[in-house]
Parts: sequence; structure tokens; C-alpha cells
Amino acid sequence: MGFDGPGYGARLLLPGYLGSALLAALLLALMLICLFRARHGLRMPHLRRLPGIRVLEEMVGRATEMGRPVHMTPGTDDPRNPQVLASFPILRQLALAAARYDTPLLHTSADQIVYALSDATIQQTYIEAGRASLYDPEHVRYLSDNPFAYAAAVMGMFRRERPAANVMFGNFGAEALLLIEAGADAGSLQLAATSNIFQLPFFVAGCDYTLIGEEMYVAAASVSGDPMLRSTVIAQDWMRLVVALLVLAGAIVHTLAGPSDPLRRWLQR
Amino acid sequence: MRKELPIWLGTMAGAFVVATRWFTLVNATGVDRMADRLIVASYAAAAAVGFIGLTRVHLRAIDARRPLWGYSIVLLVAMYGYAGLLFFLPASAPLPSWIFLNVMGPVFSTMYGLIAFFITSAAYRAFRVRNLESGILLAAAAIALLGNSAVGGRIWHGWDGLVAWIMAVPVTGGFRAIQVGAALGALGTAVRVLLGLERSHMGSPQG
Repeated sequence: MGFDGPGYGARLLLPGYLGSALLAALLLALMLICLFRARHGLRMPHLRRLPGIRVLEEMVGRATEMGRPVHMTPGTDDPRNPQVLASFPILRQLALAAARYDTPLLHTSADQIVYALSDATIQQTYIEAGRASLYDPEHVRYLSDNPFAYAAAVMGMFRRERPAANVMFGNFGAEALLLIEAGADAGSLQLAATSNIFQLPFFVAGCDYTLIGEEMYVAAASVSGDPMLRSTVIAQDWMRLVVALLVLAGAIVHTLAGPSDPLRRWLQR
Repeated sequence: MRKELPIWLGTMAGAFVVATRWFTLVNATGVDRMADRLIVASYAAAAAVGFIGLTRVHLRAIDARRPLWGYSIVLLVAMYGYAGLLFFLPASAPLPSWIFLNVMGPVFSTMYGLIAFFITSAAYRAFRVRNLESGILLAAAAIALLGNSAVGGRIWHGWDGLVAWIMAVPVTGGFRAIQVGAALGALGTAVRVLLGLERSHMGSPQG
């Protein structure tokens, strides 16, 4: 606690954070503008529906036809990771479809708090769908907080219960490939979404559908069809344009000015 | 009120913690460090949820004589046995350390070792040339394999330069593009949660 260094207390922002604070403030402003437009029914750009989202219903339908369960995992991280938070709208959508088709939804997690949140989400969704009697607490499982122990448990479960569809939506480590191959061995239709760049190649290689990086957050925001949430995705797209222009400006300024790059120095103030 | 209060509390606390990352005045309060300690405490409490959940599931499995119920006994004995041992001995004592290193170590190494074989089977599925993109993937992977294997050097010495270029230019460019997009998406998710627009994680409908 306290201030370090001379002149620290006189500053509004912490040293080195001007660029990130400006970008965050701009994103917040764009989001508020988009929310205002959506709330007042003003014209908004069209959002393309991602193939990975279109397939969610199909996955549950396939499981229903085959008489086998659907499995979902939010990865092996805790809820402080935004990827885990992004998995809950997808879980909700899957639970809605599972309740509608009367298909078991198996949910496994590697974190105690994620387990509790997932259990509450699934139970609440079944109640809202008017199928509370179909909710089975034994289908929501906390396996282990160790990624490899978790993967071992999921692999065993896949062998025994052979889910027809496997949705992996969140942050994964080295255990990703174990889960993918266990799913492929069980004959599951697989959808994966992560922004962990080290595991993405495995997901692209091994899964039927993959949501890459930002797509998972877009999917989470747009899956419900709520215009307010969808409008925030449009703000993100505008922000991406701003970042692309900033990268271009940075490249030009750095090329011309060299190490004394004033833009970089200003953003790192 | 039952739903609004947690959202308001979350928004206020979240906004305050976020402010500590940027503003000197809020940072000086040390509220982010206090929040970190609270998270650690909540995890310790939540560990009990996992403990109770596992016990409940496996006791039911034993009671109903479900397939492979014997493993449930092994799990409960190991879990309660090790937890009981740590009531009397510190985790760094020779016996708990020996059990951990000689049981968990080989088990995790085995699981990690399996990945090598799974990479082969995943690669077999991925490298089938179905369209132009998978063809490019196959070509890039073949170059990377040749550049990193002894036999590649025997065929042609230029593989190393080609691999270095692939890693430094297209791979780094692609990774950074994904990272920028993911960072924006994560920021957007954080704002949606802070504004109370995204509340699926609270068992509530969105919006």
C-alpha cells in the first residue's frame, strides 16, 4: 500500500497505463453508444451467425436421435478467466435445448466455484424451460482441479457414457488433446472454443467446429439473440477497427521515427 | 432484489478493483490486494463443496453398485486417507511427500506421455487434404517436421530458414491477431458482466 517513487502521487493514472486506459475508455464509450442505439431501436449493422453457434441445437438433436448424452466442459480454469465466464451463455443454451429434447446434459468442471455456478445455471435453466424434473444433479460433476486428473476422469467417462456431442468452451492446457481424442474415440460431434493460442491448433486439428479467439466471446454474447448483448459485439468490432488503425499508425511512425517513436512513448506514459 | 443485489455488489466491487489497475488514488487503497485475499479465502471455502460433492457422488455409486463402483471405494479411501494424514502431519513431512511424489508424479507423467500418441492420431485426421486451407496446413506442417528432424537436414539444408520464416512471420502474425481479438473480447465480456448485461453465470437469463 502507498505510493512509490517521486511524483507518483501527483499523477491521475499509474505510470505506463495511459494507452490501455484510453483503449478501455474508448471501448466502454462505444459499448454505451451501441447499447443506447439498441435500446431505442435504432438501425444496427447485421451480425453474421457463427457456424459453431448454429450447430449447438444440431448437436443436441443428434444426441437425442442416438439416445446418448451431450457433454460440456468450461475448461480447467477458474471464473476469474473471462473465457470461463463466456462459457455460461453457451451452457444455458445447451441446457435449454437438452431440456426441450429430454436429452441428458453431462457437465464436468475442474474448479469448485465453476462447478457451483454451472450447477445453478443448469438447474435454473431446466426450471425456466418447465422441465425441472429432468434436472439431475449427478450429471453436473466436479472431477478434480488438477488438469491431468480431470482429463483422466473425462476420458473414462467418455468411454463409459459415449456422449454423442462434446462442447469444449473455455481455457484449456495440455489436457486439451486428451479430451479431443477421447471425444473422437467416442464418436462425438465436437465443438471447441478457446482463446488459448497454444491449444488452438489442436482444436482446429481435432474438432468438427472451432471458435477461435474473439469468436468465443462473440458467440457468448450473441447466442441468446438479445439485441442489447448483440449491440456490444458491434462495439467490439468497431474497437477492432480502431486497434487495426492504431497498429498501422504505429508501424508507420516507428518506421519513420525509429527508436524514438513518439506514439509508443506517449501510449506508455 | 435477490437478483439485483448481487449484480450491484459485483458491479461496484468489480469497478473498484478495475480502477485500482489504472488510477493512482484508488491503487493506494490496496483494495485489489484485499480482493485477491478474499478470493483465496472463498476458494478455501469452496474446496469443501468439491469434497462434499465427490463424497456424495461416489457414496451413491457404491450404494447402487454402479459399474466400476470399486474404484469409488479407492477414491474415497485415498481422498479421506490423505486428508486425514495431513491433519496430523505437515504436507512437507516425509510420508505425505513420498505418497504425493510416488503416486501423483508417475500418474501425471503417464497422462502427459499419452499426449505424444494422441498428437499422431489428431494429426492424421487434421492432415487429410480436404480443401485449400487443409492443403496449406499440411504443407506448413510437413516443412516444420522436415526442418526439425534429422532426416530433413540430410535432404536439404534450407529447411531451417524456411521453418524460421514460417514461425516468425505467418505464425507470429496469426497468433498476435488472435491475441488482440481475444483481448478485446475478454474486455467486452468484462464490461458486459460489470454492466449486469451478462448474468448467465448467476443462473439468470441474459439482459
